[in-house]
Amino acid sequence: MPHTASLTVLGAAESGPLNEYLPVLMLLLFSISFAALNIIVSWALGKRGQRNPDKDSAFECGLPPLESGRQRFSVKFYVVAMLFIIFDVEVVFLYPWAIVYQDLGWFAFFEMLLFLGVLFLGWAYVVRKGALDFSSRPQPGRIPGGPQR
Amino acid sequence: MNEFFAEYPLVFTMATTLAKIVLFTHIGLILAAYMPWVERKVSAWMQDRVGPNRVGYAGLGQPIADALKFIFKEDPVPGHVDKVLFTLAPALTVIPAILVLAVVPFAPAVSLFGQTAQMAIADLSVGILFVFAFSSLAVYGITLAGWASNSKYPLIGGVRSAAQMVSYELCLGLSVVGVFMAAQTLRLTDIVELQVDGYWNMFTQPIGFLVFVIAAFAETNRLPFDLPEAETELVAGYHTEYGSMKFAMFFAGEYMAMFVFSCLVAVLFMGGWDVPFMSNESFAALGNWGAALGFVAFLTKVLLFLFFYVWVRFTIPRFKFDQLMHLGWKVLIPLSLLNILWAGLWNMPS
Amino acid sequence: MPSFAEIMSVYGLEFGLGALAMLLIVVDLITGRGRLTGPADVVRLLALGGVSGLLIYSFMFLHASGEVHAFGQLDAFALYFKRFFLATTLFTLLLTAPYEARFSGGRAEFPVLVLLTAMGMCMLSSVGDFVSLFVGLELVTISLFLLTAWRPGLPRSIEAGIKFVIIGAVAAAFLVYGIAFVYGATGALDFAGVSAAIQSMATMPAGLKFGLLLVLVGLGFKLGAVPFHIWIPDVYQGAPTPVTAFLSVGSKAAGVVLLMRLVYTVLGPAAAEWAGVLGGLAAITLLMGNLGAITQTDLKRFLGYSGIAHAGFLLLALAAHSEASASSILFYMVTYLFANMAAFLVIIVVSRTSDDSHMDRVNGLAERSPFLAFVLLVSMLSLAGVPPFAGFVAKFMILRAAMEAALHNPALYWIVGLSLVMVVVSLYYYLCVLKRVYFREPEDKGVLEISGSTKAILLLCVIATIGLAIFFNPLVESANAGAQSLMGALPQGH
Repeated sequence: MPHTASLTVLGAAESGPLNEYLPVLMLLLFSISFAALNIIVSWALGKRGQRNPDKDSAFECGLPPLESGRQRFSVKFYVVAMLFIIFDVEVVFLYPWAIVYQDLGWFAFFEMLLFLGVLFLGWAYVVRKGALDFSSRPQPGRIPGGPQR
Repeated sequence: MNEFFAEYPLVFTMATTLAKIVLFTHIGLILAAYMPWVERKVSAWMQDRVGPNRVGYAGLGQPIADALKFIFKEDPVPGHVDKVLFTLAPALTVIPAILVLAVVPFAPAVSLFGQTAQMAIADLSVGILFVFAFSSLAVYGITLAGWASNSKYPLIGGVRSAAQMVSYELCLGLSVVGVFMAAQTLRLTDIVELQVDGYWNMFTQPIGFLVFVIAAFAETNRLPFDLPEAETELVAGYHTEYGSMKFAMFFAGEYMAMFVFSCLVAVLFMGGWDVPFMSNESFAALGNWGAALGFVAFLTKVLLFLFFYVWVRFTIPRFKFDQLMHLGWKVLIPLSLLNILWAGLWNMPS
Repeated sequence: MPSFAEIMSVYGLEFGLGALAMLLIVVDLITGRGRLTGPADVVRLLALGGVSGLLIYSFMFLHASGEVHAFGQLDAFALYFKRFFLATTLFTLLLTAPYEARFSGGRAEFPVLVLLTAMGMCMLSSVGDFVSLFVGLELVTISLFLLTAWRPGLPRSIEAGIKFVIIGAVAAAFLVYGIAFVYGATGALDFAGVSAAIQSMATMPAGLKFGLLLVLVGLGFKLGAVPFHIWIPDVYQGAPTPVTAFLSVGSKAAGVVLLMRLVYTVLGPAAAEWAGVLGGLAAITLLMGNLGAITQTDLKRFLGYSGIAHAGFLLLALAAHSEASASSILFYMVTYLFANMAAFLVIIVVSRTSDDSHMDRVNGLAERSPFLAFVLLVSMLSLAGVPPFAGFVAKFMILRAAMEAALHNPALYWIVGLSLVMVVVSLYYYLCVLKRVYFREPEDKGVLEISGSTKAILLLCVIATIGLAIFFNPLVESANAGAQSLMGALPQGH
């Protein structure tokens, strides 16, 4: 078996820490080329139609569109986004603990329960203050600046 | 051959990786192509109709005809859109869906030429984190599509989709914590092997399983959670302005995501390649035949779950948006916290 | 890994504050979503009772210990400041009572945020490493962002909140960047480790100096030292008045406590090199703070600038770097607490109807309410450092310590001289306010009604301000103990 330079490099790379991710990189290239191919093929083989103003306008059930397509939307979506960030970060804290919790034992388990209790309290607060109510019934005692005043 | 691969294991890895990529992604893509056909046939069956039956035997040629039609149709890019993002968006829904397949173990390890090949494209130690990292990218595709279209219905669809997907990602993330607590690892192969010898997680953690399945429906924008493309109110939601292959790519992305999530349900909760009454030893004893058996078992579970997707679609009507948020935030999150508590008590070594 | 008992022995008080905050939320969620149900609202009573209870607990059952853990310690210095922060929090909650009707939001959020801020401050007083330092500081800062913008109906409050967020983020960035540099140069994050690494070096490498400078800048923002003071006037003016009071005393003290810990514990003997930097900062802070205060027409802005001037004095004491100067800072903070809280409570009362803190509000206050006028007199003169009041003792102690230190470091004479000039300047502007109080015609001649509880708080402040000028020994002793423990934490005697 001849030792060519490139193969030696390939053999040496086996122990590299990122070797595990090489297949991921290959799959990434595959999926990108799949997506690109789809777009290119359709662009190359597709029929070339004529353009006209009606075809270029935004879809509005056949009527000329009124106003801009980019409209304001409810502030509730922002609230959901912020809550997601908060809770997602807390979920991230759970993962490392979950992986070693059998080694850490009961003490860490109850500490995590305490953490989850605080998390749950935050959740209860958010729910009780109506930040997650998407129906528009007005209710008293909302947080200032929150939704549905 | 054996000596060559023993000396250059990386060549073996690359070769098997290529083979695995081609095999697994094609299983996914072919299933994605045939799922619309399955849906139409199953819905026809459930509603006492005939369904597609013109192209080929039992309409089996329909997906191919559809694909050809998509390719040769005009590729419309309306004048008012942001052209770069408009083209990028469908690609962004497909790429993450395919990429998540990288860590899914399809079968027990196979031995070839004296080497062992894991039957996952990349058997990462951070498997499930990888899954979440990339599956959550799909929301960008849909949101960008809604934004780039510069039109009302797509925008509403895109915003809804963002809110829905992030909300259900929380439950998704929380519901699998119990699985880690049982397995003490993030590597999907290890999670499966643990279930092969022990119980399937769906039996030990029914609440987590339920939450995960519901969240999987929401993450793939499937009925009853398909609000981003609710045709009765939003025309076609985020892909209203799309046509031709770009439109098809959104569907490919959605069906790929369904396939991926079916795989994940099988891996995390239904024992992966496990067949009842088999253990890791008996799989190993069967050698490569064991791997083949596992592969079939795994695909059966995936297909069953895909059928379940279709079944639900034609059984449960669409939710309203406030109901969707209510379910995600106020019901599923406490349920998944409960599941963590349960899993903690169940799995703690005494 | 430290045991739970060890952590609780240092941070028990913080756990108490956190638990109290949680309790308030739970009570609020259970007993309904409404507004405050009057002065005897259960949430408010719980907050006041809880903080008073913890304050009493800290006096009766908490004892300083010489034990130094990697994560922090409860020495006399930390204990002194924990009590100080609890008292500040109690005052803030008391100040909130006459102001609360103007809040539009729920009833538990405000006290909860105040409690969380207090938790961060108490934590800062005993931190032992840079990571806890950052966590505690962010807890303080982020809660204060929210508190500053607590009047969403008032554009000034929102503006103040936004400015505070931006400045706070910049300050945090400086701090973290500095911490990274310090870690890079010393390889340690705990104070003892950094200190040991510094002492083992012949000269500080440039990276370490740069890192420490960035940390100093980050804390300078908190303290309100001069090049980093720009946020103070606007934020003080826009924030709800009780929050301004909290900011001016609590937040400043948080900066002071950290700077002292860093200068005395981390830098240790190497601090002599830094006396020039601190002295320079002290000089411009004194200059800018006092000169800036002269032209102010808004009471809260005015007190903001006066607070900057006081930060200058504190920096002067830090530059002096002796046990006496450390002890004088501890004493100074307490006199500042009483004088400032009284001034802010007067502002709350006089601007009750209009939400406007222009100086015209105190015009002719002596006619409308002689008691309030007297309180303002005591408070202003104490802030100026006029003899029969506690502020005089505090300033005297700082100047004496600085003069002693100047024997080794003659540059300090100049700063002491400047500070003496600035005391005269400050006397001018404090007297200008008192001139309005006693000699101007009031716009609104109606008699100001003061509730009994407000009167009691003001009376307490006045008595404390006068009493500390006469019976200063007990406080000085405990300040000395705090300073000793701070100096004693040095790896080698100093």
